[in-house]
Amino acid sequence: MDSKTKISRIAWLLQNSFALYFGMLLIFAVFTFLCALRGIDFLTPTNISNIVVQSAITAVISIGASVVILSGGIDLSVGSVAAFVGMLMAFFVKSGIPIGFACVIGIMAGIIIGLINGLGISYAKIPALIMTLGMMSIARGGALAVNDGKPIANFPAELGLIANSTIFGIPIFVIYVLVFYAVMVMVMSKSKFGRHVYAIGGNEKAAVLSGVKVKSVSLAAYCIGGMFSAIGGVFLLSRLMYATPNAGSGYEMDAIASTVIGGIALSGGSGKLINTLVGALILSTLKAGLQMLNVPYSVQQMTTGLVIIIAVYFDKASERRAE
Amino acid sequence: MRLKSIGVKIVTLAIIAIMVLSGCAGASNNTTSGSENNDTSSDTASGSENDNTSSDTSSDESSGGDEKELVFAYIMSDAANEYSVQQKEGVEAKAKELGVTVDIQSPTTSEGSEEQVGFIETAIARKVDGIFIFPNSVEGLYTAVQKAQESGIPFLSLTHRFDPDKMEELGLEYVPYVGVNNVLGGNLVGEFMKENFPKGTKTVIITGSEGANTNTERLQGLFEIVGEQGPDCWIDVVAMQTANWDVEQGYKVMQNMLSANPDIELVFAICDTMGIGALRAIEEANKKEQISIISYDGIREALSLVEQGDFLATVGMKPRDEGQIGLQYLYDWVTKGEKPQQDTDTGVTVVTQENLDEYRAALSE
Repeated sequence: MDSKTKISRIAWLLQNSFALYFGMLLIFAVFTFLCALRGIDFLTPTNISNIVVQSAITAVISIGASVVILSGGIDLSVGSVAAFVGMLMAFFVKSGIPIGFACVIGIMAGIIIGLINGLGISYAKIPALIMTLGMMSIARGGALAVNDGKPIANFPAELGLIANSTIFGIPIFVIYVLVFYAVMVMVMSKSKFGRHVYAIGGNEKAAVLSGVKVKSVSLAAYCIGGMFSAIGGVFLLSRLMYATPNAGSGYEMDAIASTVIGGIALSGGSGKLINTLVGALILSTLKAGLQMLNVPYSVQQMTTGLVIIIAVYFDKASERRAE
Repeated sequence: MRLKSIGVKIVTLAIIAIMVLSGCAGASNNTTSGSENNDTSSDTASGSENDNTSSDTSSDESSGGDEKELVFAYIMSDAANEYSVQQKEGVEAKAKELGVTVDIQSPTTSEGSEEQVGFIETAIARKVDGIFIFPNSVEGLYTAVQKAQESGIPFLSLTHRFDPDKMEELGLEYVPYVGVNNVLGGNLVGEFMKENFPKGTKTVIITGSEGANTNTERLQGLFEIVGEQGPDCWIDVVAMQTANWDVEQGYKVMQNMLSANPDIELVFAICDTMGIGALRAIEEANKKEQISIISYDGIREALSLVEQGDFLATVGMKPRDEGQIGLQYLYDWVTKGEKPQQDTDTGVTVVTQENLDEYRAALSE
């Protein structure tokens, strides 16, 4: 395309998500100021790196959640699947199975769970909320069953390499996030699959009439959801070198919050995947900043909820203008 | 067609109504150790319950040539809490030894008492011979305790104590308690700190879920010894944040507290799991030399970390003993009519590298 179209496209892109990026900068500025008041340095490279790494697992799981939401569905099982895969992989590694192999098994388990979700939702017509809610309990029970409720620890040091290595001084988590988002953003915006996902989320009946294979596309979306939940579980295990059945609780709320803050409508069909990353970063910065300021937990909860509402309020500004 | 569907609905409602009414009538006929009780329990002893988080520990013959097989209900705090799991293992071992059946239930979350109340009510309806529980929060269980005591079912508490004064106030009998004194544990930590760290040591505290008895009691014990937070306190508490008993939250909280306070010297984690997360954050920040970790619970991994020198100390307890003693006392109460004393303290120890071997030996008895 010619340069004029390119520029106007970029301008449009930035303009549309302006509130979001502005919001993130605003939060950074606010915390830098508040921390400075207390004699704390907020804008250090270590701190920023910590925040990005803290957001990484949520950001990765949110990719899957966003794809599912874009297709018009919802996935409440993400946290439990992450915990289950973590426990499963931990169990296999302790049993002597090579780490790489255990990792693959774990991710496959996640994809299979996603497949079951998708089959229930697309083929058996079980509402997504119910199916994934049920799966949330099942996966949680599975996580408990792996080692009778007991955590698993004492792994070979190599397990930590998945999450804790650095490449040219950059934490590998940052690289994972960038690579995963780059790939999925390409898939969602450029590929036929991506267009079909948006179509189903926007107007399922119209999509059917246009010849979109709704069932298979929706199924694939849930498999992607399961896959990224599993990847999140693997990362969590490697990061902490400790597997607990209780891991990942609340992840689904964080993933959905990241998605909606990023501007993807809960009903699906619109929004950009890249903004989910910003949503995850905003949430992570918020939590980290409040903890650094030693704010009481009750206030942290209230603030987080308030920020989510405000973020979506600004997202919907254009919709309100249209009325 | 319409008449049929209405008919079905009426019949279903009628059946439910009858069951509910007869359940209410049945409950008021309960006696403690009468033969009526044992008849119903032997019915349920051989079957397995359909609750998904229960597990039955049954034996083929009862001990001592007794015809009646006793059924007890044991309620855990959280199926994934290693302390609760170890306690359960103690219960299972003792149940085998005594030849009784213990129906074990566990809530899906360690926050909130609703599920535990539900399990108690179910146990009462099933007319079990005794109920014992590791409560998540005693305050939420008063009504359930009342129902159990009114039905004449022996009720005993592990790990968290029903304050006898409060019981008297509510017009209830005292609930025998087997377990540790968390306040005492907190005291020991406070004394350990005073003995090993100079006044004014920069300290952060990582707490569990707000409002949990474990949390409030251990903190109370700590501050009793080191003094209220403020300029006179032995330790300089620069930050106190909750990680809700979770290892990942412990990790993130520690990271953020380190960013805000780079010169921390001491971390007190109110449970080992959070301490493990904190350790990871400290390792990543390369501050292991600078920071000591004291934690609480004495789970297996924590003992390994004390051995390796990664944890300075943890507070060990005896969950298995609690489970065994609790069931034994309940059994004696039911069979011999001897109600246990109010408190049986199973002991807390500050476990460091010095006394680690001794502590481990005592555990495996």
